[in-house]
Amino acid sequence: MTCDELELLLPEGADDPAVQAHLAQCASCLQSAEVLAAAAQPPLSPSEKAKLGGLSSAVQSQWVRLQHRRGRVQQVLGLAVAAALGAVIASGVMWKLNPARPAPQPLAVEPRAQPQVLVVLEDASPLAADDESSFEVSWPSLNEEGDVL
Amino acid sequence: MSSQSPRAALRLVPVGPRSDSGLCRDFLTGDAGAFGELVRRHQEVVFRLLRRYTRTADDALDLSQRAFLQAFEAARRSLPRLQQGAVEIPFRAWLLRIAVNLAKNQARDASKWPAAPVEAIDAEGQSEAAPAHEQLVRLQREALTRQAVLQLPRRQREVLTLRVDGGLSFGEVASTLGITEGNAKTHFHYAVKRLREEIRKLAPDALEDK
Repeated sequence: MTCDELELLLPEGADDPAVQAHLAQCASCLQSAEVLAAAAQPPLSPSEKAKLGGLSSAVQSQWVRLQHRRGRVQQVLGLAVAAALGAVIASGVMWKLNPARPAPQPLAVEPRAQPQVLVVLEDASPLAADDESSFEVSWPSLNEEGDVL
Repeated sequence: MSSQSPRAALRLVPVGPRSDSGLCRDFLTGDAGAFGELVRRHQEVVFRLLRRYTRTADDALDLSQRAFLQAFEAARRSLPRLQQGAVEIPFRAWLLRIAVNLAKNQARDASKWPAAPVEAIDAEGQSEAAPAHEQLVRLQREALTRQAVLQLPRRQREVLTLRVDGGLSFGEVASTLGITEGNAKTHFHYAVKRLREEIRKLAPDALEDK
């Protein structure tokens, strides 16, 4: 058995008599065996074994919870898809039932608002707004001096 | 007086353990007992693989739980093929592959924290009285070695831990990691060589006094 062949039997084959015989004569392989033995982890402690005993039920309950959640998500997704399909179908039906709708009118372009022009009041007679003057001028029973005719 | 037909009697003959694929199929079609059997069959190897990378046993347990859930999810996606009966799913390889990936992520995350996984595990496992000097030296050497394992290149570390912690053959290691068996052996050889060098650097007298 060569050193390379022996290395491939480690670490679980270290108790084999042929391996032991080789290790007794080969310091290099003995070091490899010791390194691999040291690299191995210590055996499970009682507390670790106890915790491991509950792993199955923990995984199972978690799995059930995940499947319920998956079912709810699928249900919601299904409802959403059904609602969207229903909306599409309903709009199609509505379109078919009311086909004679007027063609859409092009949007009218509103004229731009003109700036406001101030009314010039200079042409208006000043007497027109003065009731008393107008009364005096147009009163038929008075002469120019204001005497009653 | 028995009225069983020979065909019925044949069904009562005890058979060997069910395959992982059969257990997966039974579980996914409603057999809760198959679930427990699958978990119990593989829980120790998964836990031992992950324990190396975690600070506490509880952390390793959490990661083990995640590994099983992801593996069952992968099996669930393969249920149509499983129900055809002709397909065997590599559940163990999937599970160990997932565990290796979780361990890789854990190792990456742990590099950001001042973790001391080996010492924490040792403290849990060694509850007896104060060990003698030789035992202390041995424990220290083991702790250094396990620390060196975590410093190995990723593929070498994966091959070594699957071999040492999981007790997998090189063929199983290869199928788990998706590499050839020869490649697995090469990585193992270099991992051992590198470990010896690291130990010699970290504790020069650890290998010299032998």
